[in-house]
Amino acid sequence: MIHDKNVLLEVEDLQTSFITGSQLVPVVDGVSFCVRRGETLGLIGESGCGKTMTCLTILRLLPAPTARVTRGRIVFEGADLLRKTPAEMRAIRGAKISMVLQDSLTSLNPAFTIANQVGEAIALHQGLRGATLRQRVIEELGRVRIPDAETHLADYPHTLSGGMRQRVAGAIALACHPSLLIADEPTTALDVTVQAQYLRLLKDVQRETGMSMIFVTHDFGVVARMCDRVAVMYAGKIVEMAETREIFDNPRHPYTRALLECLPRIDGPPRPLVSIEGQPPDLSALPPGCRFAPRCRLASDVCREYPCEQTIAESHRVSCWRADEVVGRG
Amino acid sequence: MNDASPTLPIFQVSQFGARLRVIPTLPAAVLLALCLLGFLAPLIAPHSPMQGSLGEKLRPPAWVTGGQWAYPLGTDLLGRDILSRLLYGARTSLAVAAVAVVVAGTLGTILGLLSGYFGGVVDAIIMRFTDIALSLPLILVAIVLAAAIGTSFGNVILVIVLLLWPRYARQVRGETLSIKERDFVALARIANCSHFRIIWRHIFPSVLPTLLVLVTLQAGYIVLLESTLSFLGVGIPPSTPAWGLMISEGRTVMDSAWWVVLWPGLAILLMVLSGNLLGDWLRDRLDPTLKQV
Amino acid sequence: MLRFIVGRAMQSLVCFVVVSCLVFYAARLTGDPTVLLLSEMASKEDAARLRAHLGLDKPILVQYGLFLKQAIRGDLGESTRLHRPVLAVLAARFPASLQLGSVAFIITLLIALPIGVYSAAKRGTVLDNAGRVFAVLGQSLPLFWLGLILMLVFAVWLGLLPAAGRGTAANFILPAVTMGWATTPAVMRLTRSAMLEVLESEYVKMARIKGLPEWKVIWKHALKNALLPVVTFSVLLFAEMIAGAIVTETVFAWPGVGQLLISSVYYRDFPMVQGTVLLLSALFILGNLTVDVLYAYLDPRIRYGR
Repeated sequence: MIHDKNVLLEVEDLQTSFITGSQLVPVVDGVSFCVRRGETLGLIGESGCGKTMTCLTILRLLPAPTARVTRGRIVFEGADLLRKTPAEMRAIRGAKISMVLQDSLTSLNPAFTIANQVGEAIALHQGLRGATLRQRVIEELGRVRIPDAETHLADYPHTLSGGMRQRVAGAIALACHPSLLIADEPTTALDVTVQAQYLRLLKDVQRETGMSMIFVTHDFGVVARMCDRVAVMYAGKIVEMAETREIFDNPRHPYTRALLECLPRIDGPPRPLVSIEGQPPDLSALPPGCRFAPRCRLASDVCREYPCEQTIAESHRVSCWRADEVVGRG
Repeated sequence: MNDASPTLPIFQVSQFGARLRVIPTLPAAVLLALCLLGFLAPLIAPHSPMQGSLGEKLRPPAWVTGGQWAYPLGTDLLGRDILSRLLYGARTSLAVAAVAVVVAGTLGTILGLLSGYFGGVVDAIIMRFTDIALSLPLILVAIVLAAAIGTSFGNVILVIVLLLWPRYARQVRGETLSIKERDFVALARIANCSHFRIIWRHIFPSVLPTLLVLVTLQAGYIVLLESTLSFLGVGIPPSTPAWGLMISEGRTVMDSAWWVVLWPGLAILLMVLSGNLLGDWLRDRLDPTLKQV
Repeated sequence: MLRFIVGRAMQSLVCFVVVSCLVFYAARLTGDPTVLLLSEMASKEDAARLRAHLGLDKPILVQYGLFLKQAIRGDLGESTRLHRPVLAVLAARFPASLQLGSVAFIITLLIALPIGVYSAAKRGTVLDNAGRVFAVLGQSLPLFWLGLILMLVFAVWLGLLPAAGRGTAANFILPAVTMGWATTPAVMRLTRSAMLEVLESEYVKMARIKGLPEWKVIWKHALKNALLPVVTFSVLLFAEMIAGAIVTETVFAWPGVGQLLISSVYYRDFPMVQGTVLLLSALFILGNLTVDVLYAYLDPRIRYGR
């Protein structure tokens, strides 16, 4: 792993499991990555691959007692988050590491005003009250480009449009200027034009504050726009990780390649739409060896053993025995 | 995921709660036993429930000094055997519950089906009635009725039916609304089935499970209501043995003859508790969306 | 919101009119009151005169109108048993019921809400299960029997508390606990299930993401939203509370309106029954209205309209 002062977050061999009956089912199985300061890492993959669970594990907000971290370390600003006390974690959540959820309608509390919800984190972590707090709330709302912020202070979430609500959710997450923002599919519920504005906003804030981002998505378009590096996840493991450009130009894992092939292209002659055959595997009954093998066109006998990680180029890692044979998208 | 267990996942977390839910056999058995006892009362009661010998009055239960095994649970103020009266009381409660449920259920179901199926004006009118019925304090109606025309078996049933039918109507209406949009109903309509046929053969069977849950959940409530009304003197008239009446009659001698009040109450508790537990279990299995009432 | 309140008020008025009609009609079912009021020796002319005096010879709608007019003016007739104006008797009795009801209500809130919240927050623990057993038992017990057993144990056998009547603070305990028992299990169950649902929501997750302490997540963010369904169902509970009051007052000989009602029925004092039922119905309907308004206040979606 790269050990330099620039690394904000380092996840080492993380394993998070669900407890069903007497069985431990890992949904995040040996995941390792790092995020540098000011950098955006994308986590891409199908539903159920473990992207959201990874994010929840970083924040240590797993639904106990059904889920537990069973292995690994999460080193943030030099300290292992998994060793911190609940009180220490509470001081970090909202202040140093924050999260934006997918659906702003359900992630905002319908019973409280915007001012109340934005101000809450500020009051908690920075101790502001009264007029100073109110001023700060207006500032934060302005930062996410909500026009006439002052007039919206007493509004309730249901009176706002989807785009506005997502900005408010962003304001709540950014209110204390965290060093790491985890965004869990924040634009999936938005329509396209609003999406673009929102992403631009996040990028601008990142530029101003130098914060890092982990961007969970299943949309390669968003990845292209937002992420410096990308990790592709499948069935709880990272199968490929590289810089964004490299992933697009030179995908070396069959799954990555298949995902990219699914994207419809408007350059060139019209082609039939492609999809990946089969279903993601049942995590409680995994085949030994490579988890993508049942659906992989290049699968062979050697895939019965789990592929060890290869480093193809600087910062491009892939877990596939036949990575050399994977022809890029070109 | 293993779906063989009959419980919802959230109940698996607690042992006791899980056992309560996984084994409905206990409440079902108790309820069945009570029904059977009540039904067979004339055959198995050791004494007549109405005739008592004043010489035997206020005998304590058999295991207390002064008691006799001829009167296992003791006797009341008029020398009547409490066990026999309990058995006949079970009959009364069951009869009231059965009739009330059948009448209210039928009325409510019909109205609910009509309301949900036809919609429009029919729905509006029926729902208006339901709202008014639900917002009236019906125990007061019972009391007024008792004051006006006296207490009788029929009056008790009437009051309970008035109280219950809106709940059936509402529930059935809701179910009907969602079922009538389904494909098999559309197919029936395309096949030119009459309205009646569609309702009876297609919609009603799908409504049955919910009805079953409601009936079981209500059974306990009805027994409670009937015994409360009887206790207050506005329910079953004193000529028929009923648990609520037994308790109210026993009040005056309670401090020296605790058994007159204890046994009927335990009987009510047993019946209502098993009814509630069974109803809860049924609801969890068949229709978890039903709210608690 | 104003439109909502006005609409609900109109509905309440309709309900009350319906109830008064029912009560009025029921009174006429008792038969000819002149039979009760006159001695057997009275002649037919006397009976006819009395009937005219009581306005019984007029058509029924006119009688109803007169009845309403008098009721609005506060004249609910005279009790045939106590020979005092019905309204005066009600007014004298009402404070006792109000006190008992308030204490019982406070007990319910103090017990049911926290246990319900705690049960949901610590689902599956011993306390949760104990609470749920208590709730199921509570809903299966006949209230009057519970009161009698409590009286037997605490007043007769242990001699710790007074058995009946109203007097000192100690007199409140058994009746209030009994009456509270009517509503506590239901409120506890409702609170618990509402909280469980709310605790799964995204905004509760968001509250935790902000780093809020768990107690604040539960008591501020979760509870305010959980109270909504609890409040809506209290409408049904209100009926139970009135029934509970009637039963409790009868069991403990508490000199309130409920006990008055039952004894009036026993003595066939119909004006008294009529007046009491009207009062209780009015209270009930008013109570529902209050609950609806409270619900609208708690849910900003209704308060500010869509």
